[in-house]
Amino acid sequence: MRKKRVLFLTDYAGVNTGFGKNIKLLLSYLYKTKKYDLYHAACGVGRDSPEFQKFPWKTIGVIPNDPSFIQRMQQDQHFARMASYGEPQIGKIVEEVKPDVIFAIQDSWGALFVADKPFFKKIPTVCWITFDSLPLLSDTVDKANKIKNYWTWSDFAEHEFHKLGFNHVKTQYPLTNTDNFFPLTDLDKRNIRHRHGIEQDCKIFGFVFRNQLRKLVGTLISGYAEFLKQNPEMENKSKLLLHTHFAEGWDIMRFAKQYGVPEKNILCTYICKETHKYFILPYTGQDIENPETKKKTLITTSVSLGVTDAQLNEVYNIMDAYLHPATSGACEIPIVEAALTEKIVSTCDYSFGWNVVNHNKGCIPMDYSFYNEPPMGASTQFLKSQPYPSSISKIMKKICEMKPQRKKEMEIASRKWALDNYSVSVNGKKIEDFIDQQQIITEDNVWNDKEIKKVNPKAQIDQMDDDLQWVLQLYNKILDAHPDQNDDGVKHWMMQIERGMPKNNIESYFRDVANKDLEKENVQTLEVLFDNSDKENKLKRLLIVQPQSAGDIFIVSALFESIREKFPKDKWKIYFACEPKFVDIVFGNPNIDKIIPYNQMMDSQIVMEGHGDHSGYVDICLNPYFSTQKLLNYTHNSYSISQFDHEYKK
Amino acid sequence: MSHLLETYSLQTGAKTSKPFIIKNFYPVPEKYITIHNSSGMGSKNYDYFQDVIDEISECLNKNGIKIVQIGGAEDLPLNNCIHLQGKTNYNQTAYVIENSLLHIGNDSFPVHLASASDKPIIALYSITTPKIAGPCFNSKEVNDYKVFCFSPDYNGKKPSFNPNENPKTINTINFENIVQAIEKVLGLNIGYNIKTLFKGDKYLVKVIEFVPDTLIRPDFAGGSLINMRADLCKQDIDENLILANLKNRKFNLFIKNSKKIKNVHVLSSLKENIANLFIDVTDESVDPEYIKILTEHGIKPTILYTGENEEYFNEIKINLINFNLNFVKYSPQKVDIENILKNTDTKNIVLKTNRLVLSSGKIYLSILSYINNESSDSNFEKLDKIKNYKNLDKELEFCYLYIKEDK
Repeated sequence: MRKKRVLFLTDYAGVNTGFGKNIKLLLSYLYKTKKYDLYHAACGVGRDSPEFQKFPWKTIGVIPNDPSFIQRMQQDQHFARMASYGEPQIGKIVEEVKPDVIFAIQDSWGALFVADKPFFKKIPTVCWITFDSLPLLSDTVDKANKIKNYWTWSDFAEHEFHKLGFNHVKTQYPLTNTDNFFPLTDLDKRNIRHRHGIEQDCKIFGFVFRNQLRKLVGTLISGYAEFLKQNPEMENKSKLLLHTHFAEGWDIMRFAKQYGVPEKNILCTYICKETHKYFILPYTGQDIENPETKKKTLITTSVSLGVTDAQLNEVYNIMDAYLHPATSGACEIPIVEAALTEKIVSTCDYSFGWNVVNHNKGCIPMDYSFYNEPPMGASTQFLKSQPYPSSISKIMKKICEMKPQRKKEMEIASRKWALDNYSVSVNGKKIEDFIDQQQIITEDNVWNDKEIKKVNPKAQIDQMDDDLQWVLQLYNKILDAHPDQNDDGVKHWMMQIERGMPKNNIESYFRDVANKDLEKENVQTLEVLFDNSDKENKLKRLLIVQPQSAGDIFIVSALFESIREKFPKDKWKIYFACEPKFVDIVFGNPNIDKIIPYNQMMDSQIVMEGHGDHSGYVDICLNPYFSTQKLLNYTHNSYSISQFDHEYKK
Repeated sequence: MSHLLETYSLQTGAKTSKPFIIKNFYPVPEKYITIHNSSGMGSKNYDYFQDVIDEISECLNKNGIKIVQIGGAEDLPLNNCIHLQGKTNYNQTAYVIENSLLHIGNDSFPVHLASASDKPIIALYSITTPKIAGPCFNSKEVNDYKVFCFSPDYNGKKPSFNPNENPKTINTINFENIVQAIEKVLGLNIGYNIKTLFKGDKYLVKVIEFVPDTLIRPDFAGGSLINMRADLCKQDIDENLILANLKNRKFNLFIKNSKKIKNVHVLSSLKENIANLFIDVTDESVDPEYIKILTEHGIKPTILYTGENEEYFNEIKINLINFNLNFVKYSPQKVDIENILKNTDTKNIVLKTNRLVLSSGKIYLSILSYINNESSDSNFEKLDKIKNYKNLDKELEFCYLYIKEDK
């Protein structure tokens, strides 16, 4: 019996995103079982790359090497976004891989489209979706009935689905690397503190963060300020360690000044650009002196130059507690990492924090309030949490005053929680068991990607006053796409309407795209338009492109005799491309060997004749219409060359 | 400016020769000319070809020459032609043109076909010029006796290259120029000279003003929307006749206070067939009670005013403000007829129109003629046959005036 084939649609395992790390750990785990043939449809990357070789499983990039596909991605933001999630290609990949089980692991907008694909009903497909905030997007709820294997990354979302009656939705935590983070011995910890010039009795509250979480650093500093105010004796006995890049986002030291926290109390992680050694020091700017080499090579840790896992493990280990002011993700890895090093963690019980507060006995919850994120940019009007500075201050005091035995109990519980819930072995096993419960598919027709094209260039568009509904209507009725109001494409068109672009033009654009889609169905690739026998017969190809109109095609045909003379029949095959309705004008022309239908890609000589590694389709491509139909230069007011000659000779 | 052919040649580095196209047989008369009244762009289409045909067809007939209209199925059919629009493919069209005596048309593919077949050509240009798009394959130079290219008088400006011109400059070419060119190419003499005096802005709009004193066929005028002018009835209106007509087909219905339909109940049952109900308040104001009844029956009339007294019209608006009606102030084109007719012999002037008034089975070329009881047999008339023709000024926008005198 053959091995079960399992296909994963998610970020490429070689990228450093949450999805990328998760799939790398999961595929590594599953690979080690030697039970499956593993395939990875990698989002956002091209079909083939030599880099894929570094993984033992088969990686297929979701963006095909088709110039027309890539051109459309450049022209249409919505299409580009969905293409990078693999929406247009996943059906074909399924047809090729013939999987027995499929996993789509992404944010909801990048994965739930699988539920509309022809394979979805026939092949067990898991939608393993990250949710980071409420409310649940309508699409995620609308599809809940349809998706039998609906997994979330965090409990709060499962909880929310259950409230709506979708009890089959369950939480599957992601896989994290639990091996690299562990508690060091007390002696090791003392040595590290000593190395970095930190007093042994100094209380260190740490926070490891970047991206969205930056906006919470002000709140944390404000809480720490309150703590110092209420406990002035702690000014020399405590520090706030902010492991982040200080040169991007909020000006952290301005917060310190604003809230009255002495600069010496804000520690950061510096890394040396030359030696890659790290130093925990009060923040004093970038490019500061390395105390060992005396060179100005220290910068705060960042994505481009960060610490290793072993170094980060040391950073966690010298903390007394880990404070993560709020969570805004499906899984906040630093909380898990800190817990693994036996740290009391503190956060709000919302979003990922819900898991932490409700399941980690080593967690002290922060009191918080909600606010709505503004509906701008890529974000939506999601609910976000923000702790009260007074709560942060109280938690800091509580930790300082905690009895050592109680503290130890909580720290051990914290690590247990992380291991029990996030380790590769625990989560890998759950997924392994799920796959093992599925059957090997024996029918042949299950994988066919017979998706019926539903684009309709002639769809009736109703006039309506609500511009947003009108734009959504274009997507739905003409392109059979179903973006929501937060989609970049929708926003683009809304902005165009606001700037006064006539609605007719927008409608025509959508109809054009639909027409081109239909055309593409007929003409799969450009290569099939040309005769295979050309290469055998050692004939070079010359293509004359003149898509329209009748008069122009007829005028261009006056050049064929001369072109034929230059490119004789024994060495060259002359192709002519036009829109099919004009074929009769050129049909039977003795100087043309074959007439083929015009395809938009023929506008590009780079595509047609080749460029770099792309070998092209023809040896010469002539586009006479460029000078009359793409550019109207011929209508200039001055003399033509022949007239000029005439005038000059006079 | 560069001609298309030259531009293509430069772009490809290829020399030019005569183009080749297969010509497929299509049955055609022995002697004929071809006419093509469309093109890829509305701005390139000349709208007075029918007037050309009206003046030339009799003479062509006498000489056994037919007129064959070629083009697409959607092209506007011209009277007195053999209609091949939409019936021939490109190769058959090439055959039809090759066997014709002359091709007349807008800047479009058939002109180039005719040129490649070395046929005489009368071609019209406006938003482009013959220099860039004219016939380029004839063995004789452009504007030789066999090839005529007409362009409008640009008044010192350049061609607009605007595919959506409004108004269209091509229509400033007077149709008599084309008539004369046809005479020249075919060696014919129609027997008289023509000279345009005035073209009304709405001359090309086909309008039928039907006075409801008879029953009209549902398919009259091809079923197109026509105006039912109850307001023009000379006696009291016959409500039953109006309602009977409304049962048969759709109308724009025009009434006024003294010529209103009292049986609103029945009228409302026929409202599906009333495209618009216009109440003309130019001469008589309207009774708000009547408007109230109409609106209660779901009929929302449009209040029409064609006069100049803004204050009077505003008064009506304020009286009817609660009904939320549409108000239209229509101002006919201002025409100084005295000035047009200055220094001309009125007995040689012809008035032609596409707006006909129908009453009791008779045709009138204007409301004035209808009031005068001067009916006509066709859509043109000698001007001096119309009594008080100087009072036509408000209706001249629908008319074409030209001198037609014996050679």
